[in-house]
Amino acid sequence: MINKVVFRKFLLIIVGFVIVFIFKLLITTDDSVSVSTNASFIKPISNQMLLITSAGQSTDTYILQDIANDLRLNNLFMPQATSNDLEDISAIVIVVAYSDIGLKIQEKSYENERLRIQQLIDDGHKASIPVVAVYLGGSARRGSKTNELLDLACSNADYIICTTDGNRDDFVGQIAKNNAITISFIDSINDLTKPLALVFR
Amino acid sequence: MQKLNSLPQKNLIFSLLFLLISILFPIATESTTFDIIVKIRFAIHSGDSGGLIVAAMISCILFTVPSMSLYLSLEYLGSIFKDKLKLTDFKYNILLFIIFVLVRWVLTQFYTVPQEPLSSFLGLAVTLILVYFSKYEQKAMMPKFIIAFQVFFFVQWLNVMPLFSIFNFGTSDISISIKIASIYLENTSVVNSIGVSFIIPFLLSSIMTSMNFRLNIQNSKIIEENYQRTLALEVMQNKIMDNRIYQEINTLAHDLKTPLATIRGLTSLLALNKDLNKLESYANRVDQAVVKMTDMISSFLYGTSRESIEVNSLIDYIRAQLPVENENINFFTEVDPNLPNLYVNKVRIARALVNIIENAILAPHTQTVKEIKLKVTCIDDNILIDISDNGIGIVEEELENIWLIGYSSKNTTGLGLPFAKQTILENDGLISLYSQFGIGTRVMISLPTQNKGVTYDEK
Repeated sequence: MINKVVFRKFLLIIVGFVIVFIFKLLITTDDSVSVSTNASFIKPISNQMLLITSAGQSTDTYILQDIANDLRLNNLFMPQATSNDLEDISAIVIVVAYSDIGLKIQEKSYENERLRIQQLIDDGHKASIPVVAVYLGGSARRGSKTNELLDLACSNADYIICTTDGNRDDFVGQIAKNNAITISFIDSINDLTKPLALVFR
Repeated sequence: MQKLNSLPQKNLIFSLLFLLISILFPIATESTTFDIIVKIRFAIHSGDSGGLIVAAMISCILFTVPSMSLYLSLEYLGSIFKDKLKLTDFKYNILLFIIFVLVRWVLTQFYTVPQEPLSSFLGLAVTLILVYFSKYEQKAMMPKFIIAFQVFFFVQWLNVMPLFSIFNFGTSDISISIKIASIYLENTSVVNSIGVSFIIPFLLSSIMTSMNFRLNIQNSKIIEENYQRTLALEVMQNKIMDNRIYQEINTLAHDLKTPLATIRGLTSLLALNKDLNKLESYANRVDQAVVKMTDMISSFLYGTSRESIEVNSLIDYIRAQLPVENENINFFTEVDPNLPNLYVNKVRIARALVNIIENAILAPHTQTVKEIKLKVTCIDDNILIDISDNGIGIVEEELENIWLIGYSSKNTTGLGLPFAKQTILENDGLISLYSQFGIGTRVMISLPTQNKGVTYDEK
């Protein structure tokens, strides 16, 4: 009987600690912002008209569109853009993240999505249109399909922006290093404005 | 037997039903997942955190139903086989957990729908612990349903709260999209707070639900035990009363010896005496003795039968049954004149009053001589019999127990007063006892008169 009473009190203390810990985490804010880039200076890209598209059809694309609008960057938002949409485009911005539901909404298969991105990049290169690959998903979004899309988009990009959490295993960093591509790391999605402003001016 | 066989069949049907829900619900609600994505997109564009919270709520419900249904399906199935496998509750829960994991893995191989395995397993573990703690009988599904709904619902909030991403909660497309959108909209604290607002109350509620069921079980057991004890006590008391009646029959048999002796004596005289003039007298006396015996037997056999009797006749009948007079006991009788007749069962009432007087006789006393007074009066068509003694009395704490069958402070059977009370009540009488420790005891009995009895019969 005494053991049960002691056990219950101990359990209540643990629950109390957990509640306090959770509230402490809730009320603390992290204002740190850091953007790290390669040593080489980022070559500016014309912001005349950006084509914002998605590789994987995730909702992250909409975040980048919103930020671009906030930065007053002229943009054409077409998550399913094809080579036919490259006319008068000064840069292609590809937001990479695989979304199963996003593809189902668009009634597209993963293979079709890959082919579309490959074609878009190839035609963009032919038209000398720079490609910027952006990954906002963090480590949670990383999976086999997202990695494939990252490999596809980043390997052929002129510039990469990636969250620090998304590069925890240095996957994107290695792609950038192997292909000698400038890469910027951001700690938070809201830090995206700085590298975007730097590259598109 | 028919009913017993239908229970496993019913459980099997429910098991299949919940399994179907678990499999088909995600497919049936696929359009709802699309709506969630649309809500997230809209929230990003409009900056509306409310839409994001709604999306989070809907996603929690979408993840809750399949996991909960699968658990209930396995519980229904388990209820059929648990007794046959003779598993302890602990082993059964471990087995159920393993089967749950396996079934979920099999389901993911065959169709791709949003899955949150970590929260599902955590929800299952917490549910099993609380159900085990509730100690509810295995076949009762309602406690499991209520606990499971609360637990599976609150653990799903762990998936959409950015706070718990570090523990690998929320790895599905929807959960990640919600968290990323909340980070972008800078309302992670709002999402976390709302999540905590659901988690803590539902967690506490599920724990309290489990405790309530546990207490209910314990109380039910106590009530059942008390009920069985009460039944056993009633059976025992009935046996005791039957035994008491048997004793009364013994007394009756003893009383019958007197008129039988009279008949024997008279018949002997008849045989010896040749005087024919006395033949009629002796015959009449034999007849009277036989009538007396018949009345005694009838009165006892038919306990509800009553007759009109004179008060003095009853008193004399009682005095004849009292134990041999003791020189240390003074017995006073005071009967008002011209009392109306009583309308009672003579033999039984006499035995009841004899029991009360015997109690007075046996009661310890401090005076040199014990005095017992029997006073009979009439008030409002009721004969009032007042029996008082100067014994040591009864302490106040014991007064409420004196009418209980088997209760005695003098190592007697404890049956006399309960028998007397029962008999007097059966004859439409009333009895009350007053006592003061150190002074004495007084028993007052009220019995209906003939006038009251006739009125009752006429009714």
